[in-house]
Amino acid sequence: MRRACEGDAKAFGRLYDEYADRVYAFARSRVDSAHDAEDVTATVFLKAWEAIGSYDDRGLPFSAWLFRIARNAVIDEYRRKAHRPIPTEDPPETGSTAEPADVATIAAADGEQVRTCVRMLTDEQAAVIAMRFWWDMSIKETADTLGKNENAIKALQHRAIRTLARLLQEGEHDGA
Amino acid sequence: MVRDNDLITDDLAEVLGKAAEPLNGSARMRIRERVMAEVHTGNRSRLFMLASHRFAAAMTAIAMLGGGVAYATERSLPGAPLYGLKIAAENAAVAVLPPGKLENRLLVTIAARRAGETAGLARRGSEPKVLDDSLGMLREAIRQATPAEGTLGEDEAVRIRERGSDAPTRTREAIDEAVSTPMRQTTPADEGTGGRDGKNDQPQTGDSADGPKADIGTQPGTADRLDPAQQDTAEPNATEQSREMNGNPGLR
Repeated sequence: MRRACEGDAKAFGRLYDEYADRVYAFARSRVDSAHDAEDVTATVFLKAWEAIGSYDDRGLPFSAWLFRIARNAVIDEYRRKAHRPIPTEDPPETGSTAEPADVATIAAADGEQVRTCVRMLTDEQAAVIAMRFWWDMSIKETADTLGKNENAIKALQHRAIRTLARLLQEGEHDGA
Repeated sequence: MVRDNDLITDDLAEVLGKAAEPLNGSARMRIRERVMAEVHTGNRSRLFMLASHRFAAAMTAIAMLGGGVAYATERSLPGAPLYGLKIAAENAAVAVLPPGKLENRLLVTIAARRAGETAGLARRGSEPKVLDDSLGMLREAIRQATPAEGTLGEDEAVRIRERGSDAPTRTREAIDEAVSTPMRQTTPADEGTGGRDGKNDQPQTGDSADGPKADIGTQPGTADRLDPAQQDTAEPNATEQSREMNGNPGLR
């Protein structure tokens, strides 16, 4: 990390190897095509390279710092493509607690179905899903990255799971 | 696996974890090549930028050390309109220099300037508070110029003293004392309270924390800000020596 921050290209290549999967997974869950997700992934690492000299490991963990770049790159991609608005409003909740049925619904879906529904989540909900489940970040790290408190992240995660389950259920019904 | 798993089951974490679309090998390599090609190109730019930065720092330092700053600015005293520019130029020069001999030399030059300023203010008959503030700035500059683990070198001490050598006796003694007994080096408790460690914090003159004010020490009517017992010593026509001897508690 230190060497990458000092401009060592080889060290930065190792960071790419370590984080490429996570960046791509998040990008792919937010954009429509694999090609666009590759573009976003490349953009994220190029922006990270440009800014890595200013990264301070006494602050955010590197993963949190990189995720912020990834999230901004996704938002930029949305704007560039202008193919659909960025979902920012939380859809109304249909329940107040995480139901075992939600878990069953999500577990029954395949990866592509889940990703399709994650694309329909709000920016923050999708970010929480990605950070918590794909980037393996703690509640606190997620909170720090999004600039929220831990309770807000727990609530956001709860809404994201509930919404995801609802969208999957609606998809099943539509398919039927 | 997901930590802080208070809202979801491990099953859900596993299911969602598997929903992440994997980056296949060829795409991974394709993106990597693209990124690293830019990185290597950027490396050359970075080296150029680094060289440019060092060149700029060196030029700034040379200008400072060689007296390249505009004459009027360089000669300005605390309270003068150009004094802020002088301090800003010094701070900029210190900020861009890497730690080392060049920076130390610059810091000693700055300390010598503060001594010259203090002497100039004393010769001019500035009021006690202005002189005290100027001495405070001198002490701070000396502290900055003194190595963390050591003392000010003899040559450096001489340089600073020489700039204050034409001051009236009391002020010259105060300058000598400041050089001989520099303040302690910065401790964690000092951080944020000023000094060049912050790269842009310079002790201000008196109540001019947000910038130098015009001719604090020479404005007519400033004597009414002194203690009544001192007012007679701040008469405009008093001699420099008597002003200094009687009107500046900080120099006694």
